[in-house]
Amino acid sequence: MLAAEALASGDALWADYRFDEALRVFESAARQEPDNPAPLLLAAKRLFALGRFEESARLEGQALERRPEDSNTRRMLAELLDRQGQRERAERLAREALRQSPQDARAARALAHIVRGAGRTAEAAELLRRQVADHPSRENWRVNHELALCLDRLGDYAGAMAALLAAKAELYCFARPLLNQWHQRARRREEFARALDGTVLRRWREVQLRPVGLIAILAGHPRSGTTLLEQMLAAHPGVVTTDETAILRSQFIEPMVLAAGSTAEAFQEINGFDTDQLEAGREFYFRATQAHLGEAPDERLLIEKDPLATCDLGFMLRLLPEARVIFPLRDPRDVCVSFFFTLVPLNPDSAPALDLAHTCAAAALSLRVWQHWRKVIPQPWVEVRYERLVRDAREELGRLTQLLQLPWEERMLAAHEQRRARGVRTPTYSDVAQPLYTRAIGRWRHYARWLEPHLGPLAPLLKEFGYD
Amino acid sequence: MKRGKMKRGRPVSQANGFSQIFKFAAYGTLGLGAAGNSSAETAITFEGFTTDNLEISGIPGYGDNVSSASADWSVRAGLRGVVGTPDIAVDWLGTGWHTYTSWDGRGNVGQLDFNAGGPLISLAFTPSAASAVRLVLFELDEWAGGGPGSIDWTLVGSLSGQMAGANWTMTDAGGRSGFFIGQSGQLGETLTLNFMLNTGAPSYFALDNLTFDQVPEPSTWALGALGAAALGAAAMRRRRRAH
Repeated sequence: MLAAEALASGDALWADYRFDEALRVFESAARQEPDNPAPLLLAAKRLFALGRFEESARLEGQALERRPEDSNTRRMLAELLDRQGQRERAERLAREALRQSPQDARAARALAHIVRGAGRTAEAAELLRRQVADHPSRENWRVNHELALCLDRLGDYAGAMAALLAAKAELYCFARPLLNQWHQRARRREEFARALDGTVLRRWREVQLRPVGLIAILAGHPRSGTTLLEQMLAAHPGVVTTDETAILRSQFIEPMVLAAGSTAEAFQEINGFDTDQLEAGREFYFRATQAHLGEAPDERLLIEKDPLATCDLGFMLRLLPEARVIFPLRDPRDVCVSFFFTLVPLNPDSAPALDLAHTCAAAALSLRVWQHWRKVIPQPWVEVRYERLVRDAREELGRLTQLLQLPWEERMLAAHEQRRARGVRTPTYSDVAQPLYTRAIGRWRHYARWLEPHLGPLAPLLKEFGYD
Repeated sequence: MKRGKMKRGRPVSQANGFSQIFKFAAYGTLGLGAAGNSSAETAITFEGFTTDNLEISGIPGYGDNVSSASADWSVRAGLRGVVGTPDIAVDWLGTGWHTYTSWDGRGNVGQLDFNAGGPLISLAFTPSAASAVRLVLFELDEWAGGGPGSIDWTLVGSLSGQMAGANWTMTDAGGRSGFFIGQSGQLGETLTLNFMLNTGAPSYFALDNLTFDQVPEPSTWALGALGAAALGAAAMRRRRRAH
């Protein structure tokens, strides 16, 4: 079989969540074409998606040996090593990558990110400023984005916002269509949520399905503290957590809710599922989740973490009616500033980060939909406040473990010290690798003059959730 | 100047069979990929060519905005009902992309004639603002007798920078290799596929089975999800049909 055929087969296996089989196929393809780095890079990328950073780095390193002149692979390896905490080696590789391709905005951004992570923030900022000045590029929004984070850390808030707005302006021209898509999807999500009242949700919950063990959904909004909370819970031996696998969204919610011809059509299909269909969906979900985890949850509580779950909770509770719901709350103004500053892959769900008006609108949507859910869902639910969590984690986690019927576990308080089999894949990985800190509370005040003109949609919600 | 290879009789064409086998592989050994891939797709097989050594860039709209099958390409529908790649324009840049029939017994191809195009020959995929291109796979071919051949290829996004690349080396015996890429650009991003000749007779190389998808979403919110395969929804819906 040609290596390319093998890779195609491997990718098909991957799409069916048969990860180990797919990886074996990728490695076999790599052996067939000993000079071709593509099979190794593909396998490395897939392993990254599973949070298996060590294996990913090993393959990325082998790909680099096959193609040492490829600065892109060198930079990606540097980023992987940084995630594993191997800062010195990561920095050396990133410097080499930038030396190989001095105009490469990605390499400059990666190096500055690593240098900032090592605490040399001013040096990182200087490197980025030089990059912008010496190498004008269509991709310098990446550089400006990182520069904004450096200046924020250095306390130059006006400079940080100027760099950030420059980055967003460069992105805006080609990413604007994504915002239109976000509007369409947001409308559908809110309509679908509001189509589900207490009667429907209770009827869904009463369907007799095969027991699958304990499960909870960790919803919220991006940058509301979901990753921190997930990491703390993951330190509990009675818990296993997913880290944004997006199985529910990609496999069910996209085709059934978001791609349906109308909200009524989506409701009709989902409401019309019989027990066999629900069992088929659950079987798929648990098989795919287990493949992501690399292990069976067994008797442990499975926590499905997805910061976009708030708007999609309706379908999730149809498929997993036994789930409990956790909703992380954080001052929405801090959420907005943090979201605006986070460099995320652009797509219709992340598009609101393009400007502050949409950033605020997206945060308001999540809170509005959560307001609805907490009135109508029959499942047990709990709100966890970020501000309390970082100031008094014992107290806040105590309430949470009670709802989840878990015994207290001291290790949750030192989650950042735990070594996990899977790495943190989300863009906020570096934030949760350090002890709890309170410096992010009230961060929005530094940016009040930019934020306040856009707070209209959030104003009633600030009061409702106690942040006025 | 010699433009393209001399004809060597009319060998039995293996291209169709080869293409089908290759396409089947691309969709997965058990058809899993066909079910698992939600994107609309075009595969340019060049089988509609009837003459050699015409500049492909001179054929109006060749491979552009494909929405139905033809002798030159096959199409597949995505889950959203889109057929082919109606929002993607394909530009055969410059000179050097030539039509060629019955290429060394392996059917029709798009010839990479470095004699005509110079050492670098490229083609560009430009999607509409609301779409993205996913380059799935392509095959490189060297006619036997062209000497040890070596081509560097790269896939470069106008926003993403270099996304993939490799060196392809063949012996004087020639033959074909397939490259599975599976890389998506961002919405509206032009992807350029470049071929740089290092060694080998400049008119002995060709491209075939160029397969690309039109995808509505180039990346996911989190780093975890790979594509909207929607096999879960299919499993539930299938159960209903079984009733």
